[in-house]
Formats: sequence, structure tokens, C-alpha cells
Amino acid sequence: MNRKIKYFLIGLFTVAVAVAFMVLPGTAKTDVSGIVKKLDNKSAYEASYKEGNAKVEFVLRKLMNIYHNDGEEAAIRFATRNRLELENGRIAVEVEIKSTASYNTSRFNHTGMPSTGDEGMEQAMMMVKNRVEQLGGIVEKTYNHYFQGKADIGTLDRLAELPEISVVRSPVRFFTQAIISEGVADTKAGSIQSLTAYRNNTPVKVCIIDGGFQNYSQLLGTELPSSVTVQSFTASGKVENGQVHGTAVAEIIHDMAPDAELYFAVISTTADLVEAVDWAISQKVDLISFSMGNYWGPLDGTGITNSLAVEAKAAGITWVCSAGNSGAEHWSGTFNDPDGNGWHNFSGSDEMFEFYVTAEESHYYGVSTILKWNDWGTWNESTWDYSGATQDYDLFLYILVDGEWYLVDSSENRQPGYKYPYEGIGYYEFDEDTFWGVKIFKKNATQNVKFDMYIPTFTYGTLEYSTPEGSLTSPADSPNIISVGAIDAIQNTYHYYSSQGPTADGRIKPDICAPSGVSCSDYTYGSRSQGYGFYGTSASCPHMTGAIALLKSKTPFTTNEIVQILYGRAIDMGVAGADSKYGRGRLNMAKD
Amino acid sequence: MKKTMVFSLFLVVMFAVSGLWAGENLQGKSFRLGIGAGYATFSDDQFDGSVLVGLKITYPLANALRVELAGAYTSSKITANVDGYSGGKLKVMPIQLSLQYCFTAGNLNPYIGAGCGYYLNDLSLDGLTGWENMGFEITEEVKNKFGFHFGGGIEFKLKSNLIFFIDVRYCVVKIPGTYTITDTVTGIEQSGDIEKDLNPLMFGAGISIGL
Repeated sequence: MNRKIKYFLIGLFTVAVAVAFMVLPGTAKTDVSGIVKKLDNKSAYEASYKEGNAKVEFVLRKLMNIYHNDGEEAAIRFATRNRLELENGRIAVEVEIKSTASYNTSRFNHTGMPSTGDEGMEQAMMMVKNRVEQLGGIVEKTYNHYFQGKADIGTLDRLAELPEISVVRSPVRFFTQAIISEGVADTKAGSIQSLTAYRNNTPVKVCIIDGGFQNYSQLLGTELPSSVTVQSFTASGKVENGQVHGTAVAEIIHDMAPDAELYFAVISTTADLVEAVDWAISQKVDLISFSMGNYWGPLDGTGITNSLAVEAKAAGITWVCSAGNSGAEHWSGTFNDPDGNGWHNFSGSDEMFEFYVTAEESHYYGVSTILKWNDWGTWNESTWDYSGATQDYDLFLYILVDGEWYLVDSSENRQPGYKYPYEGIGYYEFDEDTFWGVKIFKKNATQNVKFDMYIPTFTYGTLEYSTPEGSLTSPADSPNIISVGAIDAIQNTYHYYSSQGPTADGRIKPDICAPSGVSCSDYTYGSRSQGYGFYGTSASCPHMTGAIALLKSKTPFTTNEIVQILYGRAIDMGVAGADSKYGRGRLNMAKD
Repeated sequence: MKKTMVFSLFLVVMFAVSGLWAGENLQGKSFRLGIGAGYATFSDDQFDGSVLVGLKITYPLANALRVELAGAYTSSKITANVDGYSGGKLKVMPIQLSLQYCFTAGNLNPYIGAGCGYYLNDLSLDGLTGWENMGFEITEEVKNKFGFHFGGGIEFKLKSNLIFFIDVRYCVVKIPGTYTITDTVTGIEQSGDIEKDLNPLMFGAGISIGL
């Protein structure tokens, strides 16, 4: 044999063996050291960062601990994974000032201090603002008795020591409810569009509040009106910020109501939303379309967004929002511990709530979980806060690797020191399809509370236990907002992910269902016929907004009358009459 | 509305008959009865121009002054418009009382005049099928209204007792009304006031005879 060929064959064999070792299943255990800590018992996982100031949110205390012990790079990695905004050693925070009984909320001064009408509160606000700045932080905006800004990571505990401060946490953010609309034909909007306006020919102004409007400028005059009014309220100030979600929403509204004048407002946090609603009021818009939501609040119709909706309503604005896409990712139940070991039993002796996540999903979305319970206390409409939790429960996330459960992370806010009955863990990635698990521990509680848990998995039927009822996201529970669930635009069937009511105080929500799974331009989500399209209650919301805008632009009916007309024309689905799965039924603009 | 129009026509005819009777009892002065036809245009372009027919009676008050009572009828077709309907009819019957000044010169008698009138109106819409198909019922009603007019004309003496005349007059009148749109599914209705600028410009010609 030729010597060269011989060496070549030996080399080839060596490579083949190496590849075989890499791709064939072996007996070596998967390396999980990068993301998990083995947990044999709970006390073994106690760490120093659990001792810090309880007023600081658990995830921020953990960040501080990592920053102090492992350095800035580790802190940045942790912040990135948890989707915390960390830049130049400063972390995005929201600081809540302790409210006083005499506090008056004649509010809003977005550039400086809020005008509260209460000298004591104004002094407290000024003191906190000075303290934030002394500690190297920045106050970006204020609303009611909240600050939003950035604080030096290492100073959060010192900041929270100030007695005027009630809570230091990461800002509550809204997320977009994941994504020519077939809905125009499905809702019979096309038939109304072809009619000459009767006794009204006034353009309707629609404000779309969303996370971003990427590529909108390329669609002006085609898929969108020739001009739109835009404003960003986020820290970046960008309207085209990489997110196409808002652009797709606008496409649907334009499809439904071609003559509507569109206003785009970009937001991320609650403070941004406060500003956006003020802006919408100043622009004298008729409708707000809000395909966003979050898990914050007790879902009983109270909360900051509901208060904003009341303000918008007083200004003549009708607010439409998506019901949420949590129908298949929600579990609800009351704490149950028959063996008295502190861990919640989801069923029988089962203390581990299992769910399956593919590697692809974990990399794309990140594995996360949210737990909250019915312990928010009393809502104060004046100070925009809750009296606070009294029961302390904690949340633990596990992963199943090689048949063994490993603790990945925990969320252990210390209620009532931390006033919100809320725990959250995220966002983890793993290179294998596997089961993950969640456990709930009764840390310091005298009552067996009712939990709501959200585990965004994006694959239907992967949760061990699922409760579609009560899976709304905020603000779909607001009595002052029209919430819209999802119906397939072609099949006219319920979409499994569409969040359901009732609200925590027993009201029927969503109010109505509208098409989802519709085609958009290639600049956003693409055509359904080509396997793409815009799915989710995010797509349903603008169909309802557009239907209202269309009738409002062509008839003399008031907006409230139009809403009632659309409710009356909705095609009933499910059990007879309105229900918390379909609301009044499927949006339909024709007579039947 | 139909009853009102019939009654008004009856009044005009009765006035003419009474004029015949009165003419026999007045010396040197006589009623003249005229009949004519013409064309009317409207300032609101949703109303098409339309043919009109009319009847008038004049009575001299002094050498150059006379009083005229006239009645007319026209039915205007409604064209598609921004108010949402694609067709219909507006029937208008003005009853006008005028004071006229005559510039008599031989067989020609130019005149000018002005006065006021009562406009009997009826609106019927037949082009709302689009909204009706979508489950919305729409009704509109217009009311009768007073208005003013001015104009002039010229009379040609054809025979001792027969005159040919042409007449032009501009009428200032806005007719009020109401609309109602009802969602037939829920029964929710919305109504409001409407006002249509009629302002007809009427051209007419005809003959009159002395009584």
C-alpha cells in the first residue's frame, strides 16, 4: 500500500473514532455545572445574599451578591440571563416610596419631581432622589410615588436602608403577546368598508402602544397609512428598535379601518406606559390598542394600568387590549401540604410540577416561571399601590438531567419585608430537550393562599398540570378595558393559548374573541399561506380596535354604542351566552 | 305629507276660484290666473335639478304694484352622497306670496318682486340597501319650513286677455329634519338633527289669463 494512502486511512480512522465518541451516546453524565447547583436539602442552598435588605427584590439581591463575590463579568452574565438592564455597573430599578395617608395624587412631572400636593411626600421624594444620585444612580422618570432609573449595583442595599423607601425592584415590564389580515373577511369588515359613510366622515385616531415598530417606515403608503405619528417613551428613544410586533398590529388596524389615523407609542415599563397614555390623551386619540401585558397584580381589576384606563376613559378614549397568551401555560391552586413538610403538593404526594422544554425553545425564549398569590392587600387608588403581602412563599426551579433532579434557581423574596406576593425565575437555556420542575415552599405563612403560576413553554400540553381558567395577563382583567381573546382566522376555532377568565373577582373576561393567525407583510410576520403569519391575542386585539374604528368613522354611533353593537353581533361560541373562554363570542360586523 | 300637499293644492285652487268670483265684482281691477312649468336647481348638489309645475294668481293693488300667490311642485332625485344613501326623492311644494312691481311698456310688462313662502317637503330614501344588508335601519324625515324669495320676470301680451310670461326667482330656505340609524340586532339607535340647504333657483314660463 502506498505510504501516503496508509497515513490517510489511519488519519481517517482516527477522525471517525473521535467523531463517534462525540455523537454516540455514552455513559458520561451531562455537564450541568454551568447552570445548576445540586440540592440535597433546602438548607444547603442558603446563601449570604438571602440575608440582605428584604425591601430589595430577591433577584437584585442575588445580583449584588454575584457582583461582590464573583465580579462584574459574572454579574453581567447573570443580569443578561435574567433580562435585567445592566450597563456600566448600573442596574435599571424602580423605587417605590412609602405612601402616607394624606398623599394626594395630582401627579406627573415626567422630567422632575412629581407634584403631589403633599409637602411631606415631596420632601421624601426629594430625599430619595438625592440619595439615588449620591449613590451614583440616575433618576430617569417619576410617576405617582415611584422612581424609575438606574442604580449602582453595589449600592442597592444602602439605598433601601432609607426609611422612606418601600421597595427596590426591577421595573415591571410589559411583554408583547407573541404574534392582508384574513380577519377583514372573517369579521365581515370588508362589507362595512365598501359602504358610504352615513352621517359621519370624521377620521378616527388610534394610538397603538407597543414594544416597537421596526420596519414601519418601509410600509408607509402601502401596508400602513402614508403618514403616522410616532413617539418612543423608552430609554433608547427608538421607535424602530428591532421589534416588529407593533408594526404588525398597525398593519391589521390599517387593514380593518383604512382611514384611521395611526399614532405609535413605544414603551417597555410601567413608567413608560404612564407617559404614553398621557401622550395619547394629549393627541386626542379615540382608541388605544394595547397588545401587551404582564403577570403583575391580583387580576381583580385593580392596578396602575386600570387607573390609567380610567383616566383615558375620562378623556373619551376606549382602550382595547389582548387577553394574553397564557391559556396553556397557567396553573392555579391553593396551597396544600398533607405531609406537613412545607412543600406544596400539586396532586396527591406530587410536590414537583413538571414541564417539558425542548432545547430549541429554551434557547429561543428562555425557561422562566412566575408565581404569585392572592395576598396583594388593598389597592389604594390614590397612591397606586397595594397594602402588601403578609404571607411568605418561595419558588424553586429544577431540571431533570440523567434521571436526577438538580436545583437551578430559586426566588425567595421575603414577604412582608418585600411587599409583593410575587416570585419570578428566568431565563435559563439548556442544550437538551428535557423536563424541568417547579416546587413551592411555605416559608413563613399562616394562611393557605391561592396561587397563580405561569410557565411560558410555547408548546401546547407540556405542563403536568394546567389551569386555563384565570390565565389572563394584566391589564386584561380591567373593567375599563376591552380584552380580546383569540379565534383562528380561517378555522374559526379557539386557539389553545388564548387566556381565559374569569377575573379574580369573578367577572367574565375576555369580552370578545377576534381573529388570530393572520397574514402580514414580509417586513413583519409574513403570510400564513407560506407557513408564517401573526398568531396570538396580539393579533386579535387590533381586529377589535379596527372594527370599532371602522364603524366609528362611518356612522354617528358613539364608541360605547359601537362596542355594544359589536358585542351584540358577536357569534356566540362555547356555552350559550357570554363565558370566560370566548367572551360574547367571535367578532362579526355583519348582521349574523 | 301627501295629505298636506293635496290640501295645499286645494287651497290654491280655492283661492283661484274665489278670485274668479271676486274678479266679477271689481271694476278696473281683475285677477289673473297663470299656469306654467319650469325647472329648479338646488344649492345642495345632492339634489338633482328637476322639472316643476306651478299655478299662480295675481291681483293688482295699485298702478304698478300687485300681489301674487303661487304654488309649485317639484320632485328632485337624490344622488349618491356622503350621507350614505345612494338614491331617493325630495318632493318640495312651495306656496309663495309675493309683492311685485311692474314696469309696463306697451305689450311688455317686466316686473320684479320679493316675498315669503311656506315650503312643504317630503323626503324618501331608497338607496340604503348596503347599510340595511348589514343590519342597520336608517330613516330620515324633513320638516316644512318658511323661506324667502326674490326674482323677476317679463310678460308678453299675446291677446287682450292672454299673456305669456317667463319668471325667475331665487328662494332662500333651509329645511330641517331628523335622522335615525338603528342597529337591528341590538336595537341601539342614534338620532340627530339634519339641515339641508335647499335654496332653489326656479325658472318658469307659462300663460296667464285675466278673469
